[in-house]
Amino acid sequence: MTPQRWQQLEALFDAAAELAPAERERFLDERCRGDEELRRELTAMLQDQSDDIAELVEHAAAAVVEDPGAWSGKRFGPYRLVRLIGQGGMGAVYEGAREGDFQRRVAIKLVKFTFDSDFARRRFQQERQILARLDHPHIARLLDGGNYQDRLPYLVMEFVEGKPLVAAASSLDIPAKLRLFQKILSAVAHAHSQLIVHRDLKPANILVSDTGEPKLLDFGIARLIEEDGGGAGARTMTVGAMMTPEYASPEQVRGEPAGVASDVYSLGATLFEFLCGARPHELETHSPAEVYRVICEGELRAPSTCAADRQLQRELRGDLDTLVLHAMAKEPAARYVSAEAFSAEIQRYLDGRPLTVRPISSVKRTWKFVKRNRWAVAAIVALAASLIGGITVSTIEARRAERRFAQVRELANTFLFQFYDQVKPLPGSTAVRASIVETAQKYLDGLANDAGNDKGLILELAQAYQRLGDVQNRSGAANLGEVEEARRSYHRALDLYARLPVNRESPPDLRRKYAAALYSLVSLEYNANHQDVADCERLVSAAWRMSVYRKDIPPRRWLGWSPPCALLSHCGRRGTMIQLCSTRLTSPSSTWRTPEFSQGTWTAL
Amino acid sequence: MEEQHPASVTMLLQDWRRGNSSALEEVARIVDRELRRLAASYLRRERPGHTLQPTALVNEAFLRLMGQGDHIDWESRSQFIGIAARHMRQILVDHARRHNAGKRGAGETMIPIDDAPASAHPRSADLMALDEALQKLAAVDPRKAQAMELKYFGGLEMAEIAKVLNVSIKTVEKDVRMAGAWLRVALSGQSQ
Repeated sequence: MTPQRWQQLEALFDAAAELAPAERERFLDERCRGDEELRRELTAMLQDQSDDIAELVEHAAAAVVEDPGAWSGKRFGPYRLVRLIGQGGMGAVYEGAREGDFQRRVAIKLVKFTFDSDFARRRFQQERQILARLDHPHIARLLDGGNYQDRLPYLVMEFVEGKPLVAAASSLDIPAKLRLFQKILSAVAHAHSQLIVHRDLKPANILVSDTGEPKLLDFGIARLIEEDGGGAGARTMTVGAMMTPEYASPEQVRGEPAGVASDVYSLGATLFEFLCGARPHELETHSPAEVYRVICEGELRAPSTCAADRQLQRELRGDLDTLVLHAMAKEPAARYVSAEAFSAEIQRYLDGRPLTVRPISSVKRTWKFVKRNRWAVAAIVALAASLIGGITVSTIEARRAERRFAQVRELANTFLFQFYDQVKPLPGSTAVRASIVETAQKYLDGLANDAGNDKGLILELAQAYQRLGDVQNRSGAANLGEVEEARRSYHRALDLYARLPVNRESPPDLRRKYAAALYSLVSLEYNANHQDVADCERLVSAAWRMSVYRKDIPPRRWLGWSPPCALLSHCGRRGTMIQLCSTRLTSPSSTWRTPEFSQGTWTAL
Repeated sequence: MEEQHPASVTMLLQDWRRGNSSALEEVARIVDRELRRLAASYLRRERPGHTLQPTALVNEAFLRLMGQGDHIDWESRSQFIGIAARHMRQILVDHARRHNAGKRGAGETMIPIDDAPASAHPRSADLMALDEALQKLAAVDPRKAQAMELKYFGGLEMAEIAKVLNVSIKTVEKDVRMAGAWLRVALSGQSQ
């Protein structure tokens, strides 16, 4: 590119970027006349780009840390790593060879996990010994394991040659697929009889050899790594990082202990994909909120509706749909009681006998009656905290602020609120709660600093602050510090509204939102037993002014329940109250002066 | 490895401003070594559970080499970050190059261990593309290229970038908007 060309590009881009999107087309038509290439480039540059340079740089940096090639050739106990054969969220897998016995191929799994205590290390050792006893022709043996330089755990497993389930068996007909799947079920049943659950069953964890024999990988590994003796939060973080959401059971997503029923669910999800070729759930992101919504509350589709061609759709409809969906019931007790029971039902189908399970009802598929397991809630809250905690507020993040819109809303409306209250009565949850509020606050502060003049974002933030204040305020009775924090949050909300600004010309919806924020502050002051009479009066006037914005509430009703009135009364200022009320009631709202709040007004109030 | 005294980098930068050009080379050498040392500590897994964030690393190097005291003027800080951002970029590019070379050599089919979304996987090739695009940009508009480097590899804020480049914040904002749009198009392959 020549400097002249660049200058031309820059001048046109800067000018077009200032225009409303609708006007850009015409502007470019006019200014790029004849130069199609220039026009194309400018059009591309003016589009909203989904990619992000900051993300790209961070990914590249992550590659520095996760470079699995760095381990090749290194010695792990008596084994030497030969080559990398796969990698993923849980760690990397290498082919390894035993020193002095090069004929013996092994798979060595380096797990992305480090011990933080001797207890965890001993525990890992014990669990490993239990798993080493698991002996079944369709389960890859765990041979050995240890710690690399006392920190990084590794596992040595039987080397399995084969292809992942879905790819390996795509040419099989349905009965052949089902018979292959029964072998998988027999392996799982064997492990369950030894009280070992898999917890991460999915097509990628099942390899099929050239002779058509399946082998299950990683049996019990999830449990081995997960139970490190940490608190509920720590445990769930690990689960969150490790499980594959598409195949995870609702109880796993909620962070509840995952047992036999959870494996049955994952087997159902695996069979789903094995039969129809599509995954049971379509997750756009792996954000905790989306995973929770889809897996725990979303309606499950039937395999037949996901099949690519008509013939397969017909074959799957009916009994095969029922077979799969029964394993995937939201409620663990509604599934097959065991892998054997699942297999027996498949056998009935293969034999042409009627199934004993009934088509799953739509109620069971949606399962609106979410069981309120308290620890699960704590776990989800911990996940939410990790979601926002993982976001460093920095200038780079500000670039993404816009795209985080939905997340701000989600955070404020779903996680922060819904789960905070449920965690509250739990013993020992104080730290979790404090950390949630603190991370949310930091995140909002960061966004608020960078919100600029983006009115949509400012409004979202104002509402988020108000809700944060509500959360802080609700727990506040016991803790003066939190009342302070709640007050701060409300003031930040009001400051943000002032930036919009809000006045009597604003749309009713916005005025209502603003009034709600004012109302929250007044309620807080009332409940905090505010003793400063002058302060109270100022607040009450503000609340009255707020009532201008609340035309939906008939003025007389204010007398009955409004905190401002109660507040005045509480302060022994009945006279002022009555005076204010009667002024308000006798003045038509048109003559009532509408205040413009600015930051200054608020600090003065 | 000898410990670098925090004051010495500050002094070297002041020397440089007084006209001693070899002082800058010395600073660059120290900064590069420190950044590589820090990056390597991630590689050796001394920091389990952490993801390497280039801007955080630059900041950490700054704190380690120059300390947190009040004696550090913003000129020294922004000069330091400017140097560090360039070296951080180089370190990542070096690494991406090695990583890609290794991948081609292996020639083996990888078995997916899980089904994480594609975006979660390292994209070392993209970083090299970004580096090339930044070089192209530097050829026609060095200031914009530097602004992008300071922003994405150094983590500087608009106001700080403006000070380093000695232009107004408004100019930096326009630079970043234009250069960012151009880079994204260049990276998405929509243009040459």
